[in-house]
Amino acid sequence: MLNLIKNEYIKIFKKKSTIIWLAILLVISLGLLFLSSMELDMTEYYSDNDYMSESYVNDQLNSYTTIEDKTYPDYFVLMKVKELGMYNLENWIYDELYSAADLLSVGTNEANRKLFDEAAVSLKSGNPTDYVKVMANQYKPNTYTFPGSDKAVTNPYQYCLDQSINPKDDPKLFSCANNLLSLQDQLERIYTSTGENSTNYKNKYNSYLVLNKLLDEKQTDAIIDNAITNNMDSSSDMSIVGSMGMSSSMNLSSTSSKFWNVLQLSASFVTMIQILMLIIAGSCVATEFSSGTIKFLLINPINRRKIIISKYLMVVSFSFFCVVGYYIICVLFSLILGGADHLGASYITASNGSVTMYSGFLYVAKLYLYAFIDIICYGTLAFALSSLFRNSAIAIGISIALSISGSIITGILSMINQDWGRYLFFANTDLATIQAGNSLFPNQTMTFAIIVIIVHMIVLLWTAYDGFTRREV
Amino acid sequence: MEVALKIDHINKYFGKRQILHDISLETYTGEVFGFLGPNGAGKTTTIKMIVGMLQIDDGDISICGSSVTKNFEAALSNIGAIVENPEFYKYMSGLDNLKQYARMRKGVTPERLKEVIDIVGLTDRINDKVGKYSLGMRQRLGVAQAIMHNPKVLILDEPTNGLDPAGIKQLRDLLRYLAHETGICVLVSSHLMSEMELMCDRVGIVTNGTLLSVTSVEDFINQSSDGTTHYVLEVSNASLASQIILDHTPLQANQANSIQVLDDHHIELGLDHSDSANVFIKDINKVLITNDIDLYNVTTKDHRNLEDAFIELTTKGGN
Repeated sequence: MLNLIKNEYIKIFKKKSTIIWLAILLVISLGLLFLSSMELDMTEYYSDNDYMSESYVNDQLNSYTTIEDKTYPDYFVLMKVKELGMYNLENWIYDELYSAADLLSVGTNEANRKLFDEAAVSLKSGNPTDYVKVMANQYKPNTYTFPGSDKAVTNPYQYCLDQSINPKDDPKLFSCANNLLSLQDQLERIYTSTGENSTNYKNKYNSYLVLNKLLDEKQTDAIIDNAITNNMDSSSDMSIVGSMGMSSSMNLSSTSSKFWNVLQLSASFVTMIQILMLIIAGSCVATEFSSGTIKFLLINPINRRKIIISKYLMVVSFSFFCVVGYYIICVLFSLILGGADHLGASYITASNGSVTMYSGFLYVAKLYLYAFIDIICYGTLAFALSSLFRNSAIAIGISIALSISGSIITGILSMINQDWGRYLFFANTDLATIQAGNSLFPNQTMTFAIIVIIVHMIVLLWTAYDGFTRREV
Repeated sequence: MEVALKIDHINKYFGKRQILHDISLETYTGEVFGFLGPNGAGKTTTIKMIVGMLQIDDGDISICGSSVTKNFEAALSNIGAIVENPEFYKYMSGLDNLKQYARMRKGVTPERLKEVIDIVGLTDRINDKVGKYSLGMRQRLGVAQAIMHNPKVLILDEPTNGLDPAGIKQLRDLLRYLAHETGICVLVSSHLMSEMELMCDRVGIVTNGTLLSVTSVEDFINQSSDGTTHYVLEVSNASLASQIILDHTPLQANQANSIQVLDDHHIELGLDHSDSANVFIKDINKVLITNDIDLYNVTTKDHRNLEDAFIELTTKGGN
């Protein structure tokens, strides 16, 4: 059998067109990937050397003229900087100053102003732990009643103190802890108004689980699933995700790492290989007949079933090698474009009250696997048509037409509420969208899709096998 | 000499039409067997059934004892064949094409491939792409493909197609060598009567799906339509010789069917069995010499060739 498969590979690769196709597809896909990745460039935060210099502070203060102006927390911050002479210090100090002013509602009364003063002094010392201690003492812990809230963070500063997180060394984690509080508040509000069975609550609870876990694992850069980030749609939520970094929404999960952005994006280009695979699968049986080489192929001491099986195995294994090879190339390409940036990042998502978290590479490999399944489905279709009609034009033409129009047809059927459309082959081949819950027909689960695929594949494989082994030549 | 190919009462139907009617045939190692018949007689169909390209509706075919239906791989390992035109992968070289088939068969080493390429005379063009080959070269590559695994049975469907006279002679010599020296059974189907006459040891005639006869080439040619063979004797005195032959009692025992004086020096004799002709001729020689008559020449009348015999048989039997 191995010799037969080797024969098939030789037949494919001795044709110049195969290699040319591979090269073209590679160049096009990497080119498109490169162009798309340019949109993902994060704007860098350029530190302004003038920030919080004496002249800057004085300038800023001049814009606060009315009494009302002077009740804003920002005003108090600037005044404090001037009072304590905290010029040209590190950025985190000012970030926290603003944060503390906000939190302590410094504009409301004298007591709060005193608390703020304490915080400012601890900040001036430049020792972040002191500051955190001060804030932890002053923070009034929140109480929550939603299910599982015993694990909730009630005092973010105390939590950070316990976990040795401070705003200077772990700014992202620190602000995450604060933002987690805000998310918990939202969760509590939704719980008390709609109870735990509403979709709103469930979605928000998943988001809460994710952030909680990330904070727990101290993972500042994770690839957060779209399902989670899609449910974080209010502006306060956005700032939560903002602590993890946010990229432009091209159906990407959120991450601030260019490496991961490019690598995730590459998964959507894998199906370009499909064109080449359709050509190979659609022609490998048919051209034997049209060129007449089938005669010599069959006058061999090899059962016909071994011949057709070896051809199919070649198609499947070649698709596999292409997908794996593309994965490796894209990892390298992403390294080139994005640098070795947070390579250890994990992928995280939550559903039905439990969190799943695993390596980012595994996540992208999973996306590639779904694309591979898609390719195999259409490849098998082309292969079956090739064996049935013994005509490569028909086989390739029909499969290309179906692979392009398949999703359109499914869309139309679902729009006009023809529910039987869910049983069609091409409604189920794109497992990635089905798993993300974006299937065109409602209630299309992964299990259902896989069963539909398996049934269709059995029919197709049987057609290919029977059409070759039993018929006359 | 053992049975190489055995075709046992096979029938073939395409839909309702019966293409082959109860064909039975045996061929032996060490012979060149010719499969003759007009277009559409069923030769290629039979050959395709031997190699497993068509299904056998009734009966069975076995190669060196292995049945094609029950033991396909064992049966086919003893066959090499070219059916209709030999087709190869045009974008690959001759050698690459051969290697494809070598990998599917047992015991074909690179040395054997080289040997086979030498035998068919393609050594200097074997690395060129087959798309650039002439028809004759493709034929020869087809023969190389067919013999590379030392099969016991070699089946060639119209092998001289496209070969120039030198190529045809080369092929004929090769086939006769393979059959007579290496003991392969060579089965050739062709329309080229003159070639078949030179190449084959036995012939099987088939028309309209029926096997009409299986005989040696010699016998087939020499059988005239009335079953007798006619000889023309060139003698010094025809009338006298004719008299002597008629009078000679032992000659009458030979059942000389007819004797006719053609002219002063030629007599025509019609005899039933060609086997006894040599004995008869020997006897006549003795008798004539004893009676002082010289015998110069014995020939068969109107030296018929295979083509005449073939057309005669098939038009008679085929209508």
